[in-house]
Amino acid sequence: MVGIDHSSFEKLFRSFFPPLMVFAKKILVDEDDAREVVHQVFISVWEKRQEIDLSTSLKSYLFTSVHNRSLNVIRDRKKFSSAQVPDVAGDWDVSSIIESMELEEKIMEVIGSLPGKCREIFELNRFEGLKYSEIAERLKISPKTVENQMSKALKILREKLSKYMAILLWLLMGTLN
Amino acid sequence: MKVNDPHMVFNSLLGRKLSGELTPGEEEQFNEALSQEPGLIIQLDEFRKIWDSVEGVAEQQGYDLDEEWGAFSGKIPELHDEEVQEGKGRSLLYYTYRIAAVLLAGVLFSFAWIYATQIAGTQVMEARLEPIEILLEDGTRVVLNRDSKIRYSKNFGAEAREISLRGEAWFDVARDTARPFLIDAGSAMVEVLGTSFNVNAYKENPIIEITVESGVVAVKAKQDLEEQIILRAGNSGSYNSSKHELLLQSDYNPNNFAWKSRELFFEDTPLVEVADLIGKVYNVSVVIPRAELASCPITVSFSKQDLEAVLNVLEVTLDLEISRSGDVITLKGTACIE
Repeated sequence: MVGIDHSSFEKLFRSFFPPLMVFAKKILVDEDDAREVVHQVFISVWEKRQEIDLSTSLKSYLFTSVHNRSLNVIRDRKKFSSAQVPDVAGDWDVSSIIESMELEEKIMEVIGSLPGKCREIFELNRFEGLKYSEIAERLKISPKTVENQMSKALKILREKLSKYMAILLWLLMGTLN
Repeated sequence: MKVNDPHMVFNSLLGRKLSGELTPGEEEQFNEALSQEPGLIIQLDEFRKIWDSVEGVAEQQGYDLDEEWGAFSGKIPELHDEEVQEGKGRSLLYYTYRIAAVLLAGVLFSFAWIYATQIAGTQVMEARLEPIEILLEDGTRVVLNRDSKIRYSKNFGAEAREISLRGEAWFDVARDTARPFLIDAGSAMVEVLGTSFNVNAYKENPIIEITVESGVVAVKAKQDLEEQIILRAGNSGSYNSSKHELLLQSDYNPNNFAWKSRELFFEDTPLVEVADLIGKVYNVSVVIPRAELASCPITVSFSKQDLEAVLNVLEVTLDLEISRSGDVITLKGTACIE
């Protein structure tokens, strides 16, 4: 068994902070509450650093902790607030969250493998939220080219993700229930 | 006559359908295609699911990890104490760190490539709006052009000084024959012993260009490290990743350094090329709407002048009409028009 030292702890934080934040925000909605919960979880990992075995599934430990603490926050909100608190907790299955994260990694990988221009256009649209016309303007290309590159990107994504499509469908059905 | 093949309509409108940018007329066309070809409805469903999952990915990318780590680590005082201890009891801690890192590598393997730029111990320097100058631990001087990034581990390794570059940089490498200086420039590797040279490796450009001022540099394709070209002072070389082609040019193009030196030389150069270089050096975009004017040749040189002065010279030389709105400069005129 190997504990966690300072630099491996920092690596751990940097790797898991974004997905844990996204997960906590899904439950709590409020960004500050979510950050507080994620911080608490990392503090507890630090406090238990001698006991945690890195060869076991730390991923599932982290997500489960964020899940439980987030539910506590919701419970406290209800206790201390006289106003109507919307019930945003929902029914979160930690293992399916982890699976969807793995899928997201796969998607990032495919996006990373798109040909240069195609990738740039896709990222400007999906990550930076630019409209087709804005992308055309920024890159000084025709809107038709943007359109062609976007459909190329989507086609490649669908082809490469076809194996994962079944799990994708299953996951999204899960969130609809 | 069949005007619109439903598959073609579907493919061309799909992206904007998903991002909600279709006009009502296009929406109608799209639905028409779906009704002609019911199989497309299932496809649309699949595409929408991919689209939605990408959303989650985008959300994760919005965090500045240096800032988040700073805010968090402030809550644990020991994190700072530990750092000092690490220096004292080096051998043992270093050992455990390595084992931990190896195991972590397994746990984090699938995450590593997303956040690789933020991993501890790795130094990332990025120039956004203006070029920046960086002095590395070994004495190497780097001038990083706009929109460019270098990544390296703080003290380099014992066998080589490895650095990765995205974008463009000028290097003046400190001599250290025991540790060659290796630049990972995307699809090409550049190896040097001690010299000054320029590497242009913006990721949108499939051609990586290296221009050597002094010394000797070897350029290799990552795909095939056996093959290499050797560049000496005054040479330029390039690697074209789409054609997998290493090319040596013996003529030296001083304009490759212009972004850093602000020295620009043109001889019978079409105005459009002059405009492109001015755009790159001064971070503006120079537009020439008329093709005749764009191909108009000009001989001129500029030495460390500001944009205003450069434009004035062009204006007088070719009798141009220059208008500027924000970062966009438009050149008009009747020169070179029959």
